Amino acid sequence: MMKIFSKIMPRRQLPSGTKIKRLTLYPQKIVKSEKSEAPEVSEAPEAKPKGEWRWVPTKERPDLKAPGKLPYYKESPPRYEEPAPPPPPEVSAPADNNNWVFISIAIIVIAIVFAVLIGGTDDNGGGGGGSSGPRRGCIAAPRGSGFLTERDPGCDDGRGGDGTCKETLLNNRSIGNCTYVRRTDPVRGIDRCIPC
Amino acid sequence: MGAAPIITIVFALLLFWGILYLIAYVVLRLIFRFYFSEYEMDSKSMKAISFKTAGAFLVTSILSFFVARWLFIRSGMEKKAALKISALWIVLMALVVAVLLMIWSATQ
Repeated sequence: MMKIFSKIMPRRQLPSGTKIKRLTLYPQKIVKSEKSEAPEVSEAPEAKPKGEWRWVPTKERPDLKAPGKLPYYKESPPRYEEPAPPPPPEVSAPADNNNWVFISIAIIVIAIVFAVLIGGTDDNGGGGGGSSGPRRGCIAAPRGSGFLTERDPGCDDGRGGDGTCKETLLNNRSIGNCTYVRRTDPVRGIDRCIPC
Repeated sequence: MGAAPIITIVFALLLFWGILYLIAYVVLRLIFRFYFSEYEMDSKSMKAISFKTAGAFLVTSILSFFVARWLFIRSGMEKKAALKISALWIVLMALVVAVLLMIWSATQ
């Protein structure tokens, strides 16, 4: 790789004595670092940084050795009042919680009721749309044939049924494109023949 | 549009930026080593210039040449030399990126 690169871009031979120029985007920092590398001959003694403190024993402090001055250790520290205990956390009213629980339960119950109602209504496949896939458990009768075709044992669309009322409905009602089965109507609580 | 595509785009851009930065840095070092040996640049400045030029390359492609030239002039290079090195740098970067893209598309 390097050989290829050196062939494409041969290394330039600089004449001897060519001054190499230093490029940088941070000139101040470079100058500082160069300065720090150089030996410093005359330099002022290091000043103590502000804010630094050192513990001095009381015995060594001449101002505290004065006769009229009390010893340092007798100076009692200021007393502070103990902070008041934090107030007990407010307990939210149970009525609010009960309200929310009641509302959520009511919503769930209403949703279940609606789901049962919608699921329990007779639907001959005319409305509602839904998936475009084949309807499970219902076999379409040929149009104009006047009878329902036999279907697979059981109505396996998840709603149960025993397939015992096919003929009755065949005689009493106009035939749709679905077989009928007997099952308990969840709304009325009686056995009805409803489509799969 | 959700947050996931935006985060994906941002991370992809950052990844490309990082790759371009590495390519730019390597190419710049090689240029200084082999061709512009009358100049010397500290690594920190080289990294800063590579980073900024890679970002400009990501956004403006070949127009990042102007950014590179401006940065070289700011670092103390003569205008003529800055023109040369920035042109060479961007062309080499574009070549490397093109080769990498070709390799990547050939493997797909």
